[in-house]
Amino acid sequence: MTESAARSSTKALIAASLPRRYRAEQRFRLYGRAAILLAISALGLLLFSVGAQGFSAFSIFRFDLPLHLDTKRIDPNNTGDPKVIAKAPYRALIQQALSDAFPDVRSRRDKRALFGLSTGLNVVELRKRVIKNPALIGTDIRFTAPISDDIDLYLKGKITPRRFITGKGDLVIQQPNPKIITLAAAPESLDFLIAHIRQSRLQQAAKLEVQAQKLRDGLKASNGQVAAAQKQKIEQLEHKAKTIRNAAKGQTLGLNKNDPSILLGFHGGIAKAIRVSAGTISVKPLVRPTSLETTQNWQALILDLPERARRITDQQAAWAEMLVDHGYAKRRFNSIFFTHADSREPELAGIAGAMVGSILTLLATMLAAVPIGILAAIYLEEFAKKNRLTDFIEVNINNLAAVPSIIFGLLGLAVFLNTFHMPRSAPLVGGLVLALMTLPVIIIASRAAIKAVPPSIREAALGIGASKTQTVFDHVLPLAAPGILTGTIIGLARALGETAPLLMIGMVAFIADIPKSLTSPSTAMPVQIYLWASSAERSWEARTAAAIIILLLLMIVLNLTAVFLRHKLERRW
Amino acid sequence: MITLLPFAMLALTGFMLLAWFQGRGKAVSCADGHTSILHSLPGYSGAYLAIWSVLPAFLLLAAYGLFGDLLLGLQMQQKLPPDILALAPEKIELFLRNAHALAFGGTASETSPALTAMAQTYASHARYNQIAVMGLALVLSVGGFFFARRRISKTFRARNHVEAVIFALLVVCSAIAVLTTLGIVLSLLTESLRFFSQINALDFIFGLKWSPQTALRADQVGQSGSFGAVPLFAGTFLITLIAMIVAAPVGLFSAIYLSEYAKPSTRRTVKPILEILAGVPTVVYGFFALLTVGPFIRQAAEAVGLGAQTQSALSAGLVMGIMIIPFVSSLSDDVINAVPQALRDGSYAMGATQAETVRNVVFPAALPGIMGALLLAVSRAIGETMIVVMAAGQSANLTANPLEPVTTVTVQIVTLLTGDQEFDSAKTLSAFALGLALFVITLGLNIISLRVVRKYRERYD
Amino acid sequence: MASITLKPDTNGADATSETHKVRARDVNVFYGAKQALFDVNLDISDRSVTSFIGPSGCGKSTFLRCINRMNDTIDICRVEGDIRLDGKDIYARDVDPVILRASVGMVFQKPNPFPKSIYDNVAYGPRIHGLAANAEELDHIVETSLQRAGLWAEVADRLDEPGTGLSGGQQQRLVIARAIAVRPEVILMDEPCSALDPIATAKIEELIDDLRNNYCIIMVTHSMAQAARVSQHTAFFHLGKLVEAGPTGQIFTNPCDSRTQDYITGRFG
Repeated sequence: MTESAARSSTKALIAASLPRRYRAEQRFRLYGRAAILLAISALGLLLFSVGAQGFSAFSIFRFDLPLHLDTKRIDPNNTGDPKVIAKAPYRALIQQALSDAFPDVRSRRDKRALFGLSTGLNVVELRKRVIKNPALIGTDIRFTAPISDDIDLYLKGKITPRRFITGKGDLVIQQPNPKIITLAAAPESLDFLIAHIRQSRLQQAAKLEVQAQKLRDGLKASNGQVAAAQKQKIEQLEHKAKTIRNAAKGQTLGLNKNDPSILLGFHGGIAKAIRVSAGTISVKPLVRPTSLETTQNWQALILDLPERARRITDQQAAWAEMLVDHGYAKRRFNSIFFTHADSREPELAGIAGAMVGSILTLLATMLAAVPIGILAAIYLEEFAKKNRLTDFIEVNINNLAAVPSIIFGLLGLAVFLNTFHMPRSAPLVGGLVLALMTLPVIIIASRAAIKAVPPSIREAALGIGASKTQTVFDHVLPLAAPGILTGTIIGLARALGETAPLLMIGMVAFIADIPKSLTSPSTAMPVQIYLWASSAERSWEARTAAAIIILLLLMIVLNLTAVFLRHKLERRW
Repeated sequence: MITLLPFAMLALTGFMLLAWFQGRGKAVSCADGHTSILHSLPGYSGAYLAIWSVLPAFLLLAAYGLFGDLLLGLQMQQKLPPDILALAPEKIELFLRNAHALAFGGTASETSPALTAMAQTYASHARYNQIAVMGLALVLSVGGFFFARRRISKTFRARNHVEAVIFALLVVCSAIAVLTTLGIVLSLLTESLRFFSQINALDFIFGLKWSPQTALRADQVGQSGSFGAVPLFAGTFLITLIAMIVAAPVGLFSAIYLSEYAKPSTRRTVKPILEILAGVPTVVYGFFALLTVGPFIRQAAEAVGLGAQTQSALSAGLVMGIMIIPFVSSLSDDVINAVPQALRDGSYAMGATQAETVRNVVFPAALPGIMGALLLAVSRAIGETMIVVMAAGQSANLTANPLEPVTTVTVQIVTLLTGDQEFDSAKTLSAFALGLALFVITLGLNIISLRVVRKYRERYD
Repeated sequence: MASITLKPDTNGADATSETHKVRARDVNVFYGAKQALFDVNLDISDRSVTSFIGPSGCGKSTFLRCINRMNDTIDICRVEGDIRLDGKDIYARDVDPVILRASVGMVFQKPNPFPKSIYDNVAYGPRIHGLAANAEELDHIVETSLQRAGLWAEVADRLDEPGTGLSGGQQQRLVIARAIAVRPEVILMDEPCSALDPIATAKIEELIDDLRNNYCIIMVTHSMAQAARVSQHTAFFHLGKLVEAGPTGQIFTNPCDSRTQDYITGRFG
């Protein structure tokens, strides 16, 4: 009887424990799901952030300006001599084209800023084009060089969002003073602008106050002299905040460099607002309007980032807007990115050089690692006797597969460069280093593939009198080929993405030419990505991400090939 | 200077084809067309002749390609004018380097009549060497051809000879893996020894300050830089720790879920996705850390009132953790799958829930293998370069604050060896000492973990 | 009571009035599209040993695994029909496999102690089910379970050593102790001696006979001699069907079905 009592009390205990245990079960399952979700969303975030940043680099704003190749300035005596043509003042011709587009730019300072829209390196391209085709001299051509990278970023809305607001009602020119034009408009049409500036100022003030508060909190902890200096700083901040708050209150708002910029567009010109009040707005023309008649056709452009905090001035922004309005600049597919090597100017930089470098490097890797790897695998799997030495080689290969890649770079530096004096920055050396790194991967994959060939095949071949070598090369190897191929491609794909060893052997240099041979200085795609990612300028970011997209696509293609081959050629015994 | 080499190689290839046809033809004619009476197929005779005609010459040319420069350098040291010989060793080296540059179209840092003369000697010797080697190669080639041709006959065992060569080739190829390890050890050791002849090894291992600036002028005292590697190891450790804090639980739980809970169809889709994470190049992770994670951490830290920079141990560690997740998960997945089903059945038969079975039976049973997997992951994290180069910073901070930038062993190796470098300076050599330390640590971890995993496999096989 | 009876049918199985512990009606089991069991109807008595015999692949293990719903852990397995434990349908919705498996213990073909200490192996069930309020109680459960499994004398001084370090027979008794620790009513044994040597086998058989006084024991065995030695009831399975069941003496001396006859006389199997 005690037994059955014990059993029923056991059952009761178990039943009582169940809710807790099932909650634990649910929790455990949840942890598993969360872990997988976390890993997948990390991948998603990574791909998304690269994609979102890189997408814009595949298009670029390019000039589309009429440019007259004046015979008098290029080749006045009609010699047709390339040397004469090469010496012509192309810079001046480009500048002339820009000046023609903006005839009202007079002062030297403004002109220099205007000419800055086109990088100096565009001269080289134009010269090449004319030398190649002297028949162009004396004709009008379209100047289609890429626009300066900052302007490109601005036009893509990457510097600050461009917010266009269509004007309501009449815009009446009251004082056509050449420096400052005073305009009248229906009060309600300007209300939005005024409210916007007020809000921005209040935010500015709030930020300063938070800063001051933080310092004040810190002050409580410290004491003495430090405190005195800090106190002064806090007071300054608070005073500044107060001033800004006051400035947000007035009926008439004078705009300064800390305010968002407001550009008014009317009559084919652009002017920058400097004072707004209900009903009137004073503006400074940046691009002269063609007429001063009253118009209903006007709009405001709000650039929230203050002029002081951004890389392009309101003047440059105005020119950029005009270029696009007049069709002098167009958003096009960024072919330069795919045809050029690296450049100091982001708008002229491309990945063609790095891509060719990567291909050459991978070629060297393949030529070195594939035969050696396969032959080594054949030896270890088919010929080697099971002894200490073979064991040692095997342990060696397994360990080599886990040695950090940078160590292979050090090996390359010490052996290939410093001992054998091979050329620095050469795809040949890079390829050899990567080959040493890839070798264990290929050997391991090839051994697995060879091992998977059933012994009956070998026995059959040996049975009809083939030698061991004939058996292996004529019968085993062809059957193991798909597996070997798959493993090799995966190994090569990994080598394609490897960066650190290449840094060690000098493939990290700035190289503006597409490499032509296995020994010419070059870089590789991952290294190019590293170089660009380390550049400070904003416009490199998108290009880096775009290069990553292309690298990832290449790797995906390689891996898909491997998967496809595995499915297509796989044989099951 | 090795300009003629490609042509020589091309000529050798042509000669090889010729020899093959010759050998084959001779074998066929020996047998009067009845090839079945030959010991070996005619193709083997062709291959035999081709090998003899080309291989010795090829080996000679390859050796010259690799060591020709070294040989020339040695010859030149004999030809140095006496006034140069009297100079300090580094001056002699500079002189030779300049002469080399002048002779072969490089850029020399200075010119002098002595240099010009030396350059001429250099060039003429190079020419002489090249002609001599080419001649020797020709002799070897032709000699080998006739020697081998004479031996081809009806009973000649061409196949055995060819197979012996193939066998030798196989052995050489397998030896390359060993040679690579040897090369790594030797090159790291020799350079490190040179470093330790200048810097005390104890200062390197236990020193707390890392600022590898070396003296610009010889007379600058106290400017020898400090090579205390502790901050680098501390930084490496900190980042590895953060990475493992991310990767170990996420990777393990993923593996457990995939192997114990997930439907086969889920497994089929999720596993390849995780493998994509492993295939993404590390430079891409570096970019992600630098431009997405770093700024996010800085803003988040500032929002809660903490100072932080874009480059920090945390951002590098987090991203490295993400990179290592698939590594941990796929290795643990293998390990967990190797736990015999009988143990699970035993637990279920006791009325344990799935989670209890995993926690109390499967996990402890798999623990040695999982430890091995985690050790491999740690070794991977320690040796990872690009993420930390881009996201961790360069300043050798000795700190445990993950929001501060730290530097690691790999970052310093890259920094030391990618700028302008003077050879033989302690600064450059210290990179090899760091490399040696890195190699020893990762090798130790790998050996331990590979052994643990192997032992574990054997237990349940 | 500890002696092995060679004629078990005189030893208690004749009590026809005793209640049936397990009742199976029209049990069909499918692995995917393949049917493994066909319309099995069987009553199993409490406090006795019932053997399932039959050639390999006949479905006896499959049927055994239905009784504690171990087949639930196999995704493609589907069980139809009605199996009752003490009159309660074990496949009913409100039955929790956790509670069921606690009261229907199982011992497997190959001893499968967990890679833990001997103590932790036995304490495993009580711990997960929360059966012991404190350490003393747990110690007590472990001790009595090991005693009942006849292992206490051999391991009392090395409870901290890993269970995997014991000999095969000891491991199997450890697994039985582990099952006993959660106070089951039924113990299923899937060829418990097939991996053991004759001496270890004898010990296990002795133990089984001993345990019969407190538990309903259902055992799959390959050895007809073992079935004859240990069990009071025997069921013969063939090709997924239950051919014949009854008191062991009757099955071995006077089977009704010719297939049973052929099997026990060694014509096939």
